[in-house]
Formats: sequence, C-alpha cells, structure tokens
Amino acid sequence: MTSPVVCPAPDNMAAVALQMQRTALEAEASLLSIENRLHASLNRPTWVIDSTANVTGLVANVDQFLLSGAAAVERFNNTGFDLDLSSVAQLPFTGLWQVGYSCVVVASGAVNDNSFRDFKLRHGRPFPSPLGFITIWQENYLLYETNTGVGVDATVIAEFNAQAGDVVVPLIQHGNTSSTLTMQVPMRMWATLMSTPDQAKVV
Amino acid sequence: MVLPVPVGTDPACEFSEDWCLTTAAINARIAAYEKALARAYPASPMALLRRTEPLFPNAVSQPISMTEATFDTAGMTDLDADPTIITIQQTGRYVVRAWLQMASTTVVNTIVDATINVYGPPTAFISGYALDRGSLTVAVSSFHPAPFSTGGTFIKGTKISLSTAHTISSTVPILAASLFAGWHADQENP
Repeated sequence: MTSPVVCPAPDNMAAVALQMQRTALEAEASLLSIENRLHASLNRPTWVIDSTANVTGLVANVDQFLLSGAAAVERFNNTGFDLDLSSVAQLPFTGLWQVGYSCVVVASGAVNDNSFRDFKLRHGRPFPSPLGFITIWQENYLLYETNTGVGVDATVIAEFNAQAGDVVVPLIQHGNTSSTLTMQVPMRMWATLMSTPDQAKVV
Repeated sequence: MVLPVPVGTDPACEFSEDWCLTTAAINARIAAYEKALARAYPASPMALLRRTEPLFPNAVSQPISMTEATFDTAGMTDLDADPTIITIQQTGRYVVRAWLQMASTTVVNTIVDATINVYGPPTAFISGYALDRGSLTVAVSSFHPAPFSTGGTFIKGTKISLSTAHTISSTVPILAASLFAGWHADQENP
C-alpha cells in the first residue's frame, strides 16, 4: 500500500520548491509501487519443463517417475529460482499452484488387452529434507489401452495448496505386464502460482 | 484525470489551495489503482474443496459432500452451512475443475455420470436453473479416477457443486474428490 502525498500548509509555504520536489517523489514512489505490483500480477510465477529424451523401461504395477532429470529442460521459468530438476519439480512460493503435465506412453513390446495406464500427479513436502518427501495429495487419471499398441496420451491437471519448497511429481503405474512402457518425447509439465493465501479484495 | 493547475494571477493562498487539490486528485487516482490492483494481486478469488474419505452415493444424482476447504481466498466456502458448494462472491470469468475417484463395482459397464453443476441465483438447487456445466460419463467396473473441467461467466451468488449418478441399484463409492473454482478476469472481452 502506498502513502498519500502531502500538500503544503501555511507554515511551510516558504519551502514551496522543496515541497514540490517531495510531492513529486512521493507521487513517483506510489506509482512505482503500483507499477511493480501490476507487473507481478501480470507475470505470475510460472515454469514450463520439457523432457527431451524418451524414458524407457517403465515396468508394470509399481509407480514410475515420468520426469527424467537429466533430459528435462526448462523452457520457461520466471520464478527466479533454479528448479534443480530431478524426478521431481519444485514449487518455490507459498500459495495455490495449478500444475499439469501431458505425455504419451507406448508399449515397448506386446500389449496386454485393456491394460490400465494410471497417470498420477503427486504433491509432496520435503521430509526429511532434502532426502525425501511425504505425499500431501495426489490426483490421477486412469485410461486403458487396447491391443493396437499405438500408445496412450494423457493430460493431468490439479491444484495444490503448497508451501514454498514443496514438490510435484508426475508418475505412472500400469498393468502392461507383457512388456515395459516407454514415455516418448515430448513430455511437457507446467506450474503457475494462481494466488497467495491472502484474502482477496472482493468487489 | 484533470489536475488543477495554478495560473500566474493566483494569489499565494490560492496557489496553496490548488496544490492541495492537485495532491488530493493524485491520491484519489492512486487509491483507485490500489483498489483495482488489490482485487487481483497478490490474491484473487478462488476456492478448492476436497473429499478425503470414501462416500457412498446412491443411484440418484447427488452433490458430493466435501470434507475440507483446502484453499479459500474470498469466503467462497462454508462447510458447516453446506459442504457441497462453492459460492461465487465476485462476478467474473471463472475456470472450474473437478476430479474424482470412482471405486470398483461388481457390475460390468456401470454407467457413472459425474457433473459440475453451476446454479445461478435464485440459489435453489433445481436443475432448471443450471447455467452451464461440465460432465463426464464413463462405463466402469473397476477403480476409475478422472479429472474434468468447465468454466464461464458467473455472477455473485452463483453456486457450484460436483455430483454423480449411476445406473445400478447398489452403490458406487467415491473414494476421493476435489472441486476448484478460480477467478481470472472481469469480462469475457476486456
């Protein structure tokens, strides 16, 4: 919140020039503060990651990471933080984040008819930091593949109430026991801070 | 905004008055900017409800009762008064998204409808007042989680809920669910 600019009183009319300068500086400071917050409101902290290499050897019936740190690259990141990508990605600010990813997984060999593909998006909190994390919430999307072998495309989007430093993890579990799955490039993942936990000024 | 400007014929005392009018005008405009900015930054109206334990709905369509308000920046939820709804408090464009996990059933190809219901004032939950909705229909016999979404221009007082209905007489438990509504603009065409 900016401070109101002041006007001269009879006892300081002798210092009109100085007062004029102060008024100009006060007005400028107020406008600069508004300008900065307007820029921030138009540029919500956001990152976009692409995976640039296939993830192979996704075995059946256990959770498998879809984000491969070595092959994951930042396409956009205005958070000011190094995401330090591994199999997880960070949410560097506290607030409500909308997170999503899209990918396609294809069987490397035989396809089990109507076997499931469970695409998961997990919100985790480092504990004990930085060795691991506990799961706060998870949403998922389950699809089935026929025996055509063309693969399964999926997009999962969810909102998470995060603390600064929380992580999000894209995962898959599948029932294709006859062969492993390959997540093909490009896999894309993104996150945007939609709001802080403050109370909005509702009008 | 037109600022008062002193002229050469003004006596000194009137110059002071003009100055004060000028600063008052600047303050008024800054206050207007602050008020507009505060509506969108750092927080804007949005709410996220979740159901964190199983629910056993019957074959009749019913709103899913939520167990926690995970996020609410604008007094859009009141679980004690009604745990099924998000109430819009600021008119504007909203994105709405839902997700739910349907448990397995013993009947193959059970048809389950999941619907985001949006009811404008008057606020009675009568289907005739549905303004817009997103829906998902799946044939399930096993565990089935799915996300879906909708959106639209909603006025203050609009109520949003997530409901399910299915085709068999036994229950299809909902293992977990979430419902999110977030404001993103005042108008469709600014």
